[in-house]
Amino acid sequence: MPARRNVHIVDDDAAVRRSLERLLHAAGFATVSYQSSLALLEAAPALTGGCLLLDVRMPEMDGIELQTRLNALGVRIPIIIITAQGDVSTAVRAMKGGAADFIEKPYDDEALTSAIEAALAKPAPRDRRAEAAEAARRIATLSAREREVLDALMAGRPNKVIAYDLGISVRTVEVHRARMMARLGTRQLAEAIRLAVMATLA
Amino acid sequence: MPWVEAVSDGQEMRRTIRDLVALSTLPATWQTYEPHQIADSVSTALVSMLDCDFAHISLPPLMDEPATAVTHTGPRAAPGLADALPAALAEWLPRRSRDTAAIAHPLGSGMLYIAAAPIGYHGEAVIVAGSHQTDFPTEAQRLLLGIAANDAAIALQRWHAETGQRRFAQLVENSSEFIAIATLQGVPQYINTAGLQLVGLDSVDEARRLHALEFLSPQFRAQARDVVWPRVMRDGRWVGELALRNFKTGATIPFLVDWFRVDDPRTGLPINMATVSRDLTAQKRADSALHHLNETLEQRVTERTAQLAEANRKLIAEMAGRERADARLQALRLELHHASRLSTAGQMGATLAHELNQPLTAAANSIAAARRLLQKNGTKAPPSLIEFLDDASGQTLRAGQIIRQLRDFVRLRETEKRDEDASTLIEEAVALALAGAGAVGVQVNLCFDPAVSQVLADRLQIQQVLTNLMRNALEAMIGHEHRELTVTTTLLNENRVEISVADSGDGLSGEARQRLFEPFFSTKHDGMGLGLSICRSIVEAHGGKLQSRDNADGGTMFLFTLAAGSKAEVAPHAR
Repeated sequence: MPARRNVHIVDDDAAVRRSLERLLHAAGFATVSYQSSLALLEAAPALTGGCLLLDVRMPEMDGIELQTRLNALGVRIPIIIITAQGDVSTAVRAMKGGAADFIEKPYDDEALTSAIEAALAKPAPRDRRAEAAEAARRIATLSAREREVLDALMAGRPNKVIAYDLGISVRTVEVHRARMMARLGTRQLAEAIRLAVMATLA
Repeated sequence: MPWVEAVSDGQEMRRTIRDLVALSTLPATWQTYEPHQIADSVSTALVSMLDCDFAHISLPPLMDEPATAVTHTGPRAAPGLADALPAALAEWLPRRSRDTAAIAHPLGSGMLYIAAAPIGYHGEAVIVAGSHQTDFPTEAQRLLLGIAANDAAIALQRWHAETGQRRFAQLVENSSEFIAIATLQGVPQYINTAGLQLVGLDSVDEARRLHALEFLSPQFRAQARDVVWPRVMRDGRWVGELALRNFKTGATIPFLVDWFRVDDPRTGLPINMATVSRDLTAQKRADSALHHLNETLEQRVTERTAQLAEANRKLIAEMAGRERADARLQALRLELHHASRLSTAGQMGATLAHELNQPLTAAANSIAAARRLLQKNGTKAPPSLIEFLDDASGQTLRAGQIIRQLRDFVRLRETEKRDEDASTLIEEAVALALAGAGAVGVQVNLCFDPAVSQVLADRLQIQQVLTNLMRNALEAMIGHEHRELTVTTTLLNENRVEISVADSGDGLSGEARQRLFEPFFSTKHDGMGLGLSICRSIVEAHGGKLQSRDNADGGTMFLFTLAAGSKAEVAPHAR
């Protein structure tokens, strides 16, 4: 089903759009590009299948707001938000807003294509109960301290601030963080955050 | 004695004896007489007894009694003699060498035979009797005259003594001091009226039944008996404070006691104890009142001093408070300046990272695409090509990493939101924005919605936004006659607070409006073009949105929203 391998790209930067199209074509996806959020919104009612690749940072209307608008319009399509690396609060907002995933820029092409594959394989955003339940189950395995560290990381706090807030050393925070990641079976903080956000949807 | 023989006549003798008896009874009638009355009585009696023409008595001033002269004339005296006598006597008396004389009759008819007898030893007081009869005075007449003079002298002396005594008695009686005399054994002999009243006794007799020490308040008796009494006996006097007691009321009365010994003037031996003591009650009361007054005054001085000290302390505290406020403003300014520099750097870093990331991302994407194409069907291409592309791809990622590190280094400080008082936060920001910004003559309106109390905000960051917007507003109004800066707060709903900053400048041009938040775009010749971009980042980090619109009265208004503080929240579940 070619429609299901459709990737809708929204980015205001023409060079980025063009390069994304090349990359995704090479990876075997079909693409439709939009130069602004408004352009996508105009086409939104006709969107069927595929997934949406949104740069969070765009003039006029950013990716998060576009996501909100699409939700409001009832457009069900998996959305991958591209954020600047370390912009945890935006990532959290995106996930809470129903994004299928988020990917940090600059990204490795494998990370991007696997995120798109996963999004395309996923059920519609409103039917994610199983995934949410699984996320909740894994989050529940964390110790109280590990959970605290995860919450603090989700709030965008650096390790040293977390250490200060919890009254422990930075080294101890790093230990808790590593254990937390191991328990969740994640290698990137972004994944852990995604799990934590998913868990709240359960 | 020749005159004894002369009184040989029995009848004469009887008459003389009768007169002597009569004379001797006279002093008894003089008990209450004053000198003039005595003189009057004596001279009247003599005229009759001596059967002479006149009897004259002149007395010099005695004590404070004036000089007095009395003349009585007999029935056979020439009329007018009484008037003429004083001059004649005044001439003779001072010069007389003897007590009898014959002088020219002052009325001019023959001689007048006179006899004088001094009253007492002074010589100035004198009785003079006279007659026209040549045998005057007979021995009997001289005898009677002498006795009369003696009687008068005694009477006058007694009067003199009694007058002095009466005066002392009156002095003592009328004195308001406690005056008393006692025997050496301590038996009271006399207490004056005031003294009796002070100790509550009705009569001196009552006092006589008591011992002198009993007049003292019990706690002073031992001291009086063992110390004061012996000292008075030895030294003659002791003055000090003791308390007496009132026998009727039992009240203790403070006294300044002058206690002295009275010695017999002849023998020099002590005969009495006496005291003249003053009731100190009134004085003590006055002292106490004065003391109280002083204390009150002191108290008032103390209180006033305390008040002044308090006022002074408040003033100092106020000054300190003002200094603290100034210092706080100064600290805020530094803090804000620092934060603003940091965020400018952060914004620049973030902007640069984004701007550079875009081409890098595009390059990385293109390289990745080329590599995939080569892998899929590129057997013709040299194998090193894949390797080159991998290297290029790695380098773009590396460039991205470097940019990220740079951005992380200067990244916007983490937003630390907490409940802040909206009014305080804004007022501080206004003070900071106006300070040294050439804001003289700018009308500043603060319109705070009373429903707004707390906002959830990173104080420093929001103050940075506010000062930035206000500085922009002030700059937009430079050169305008009417300059008005209005900051308002509005509670949009229970969760959101809107804050606006409006100026009365020229408003925004079309291009400026479009590119308002674009980094590095500025209408100011020395502007970096990051201020509003930073403001927007901060507001967005607070979950709000920064917007601009035209002000109704001209000029521009910037608005942004913040979450209402938790304390202002009506329903905690609403968030």
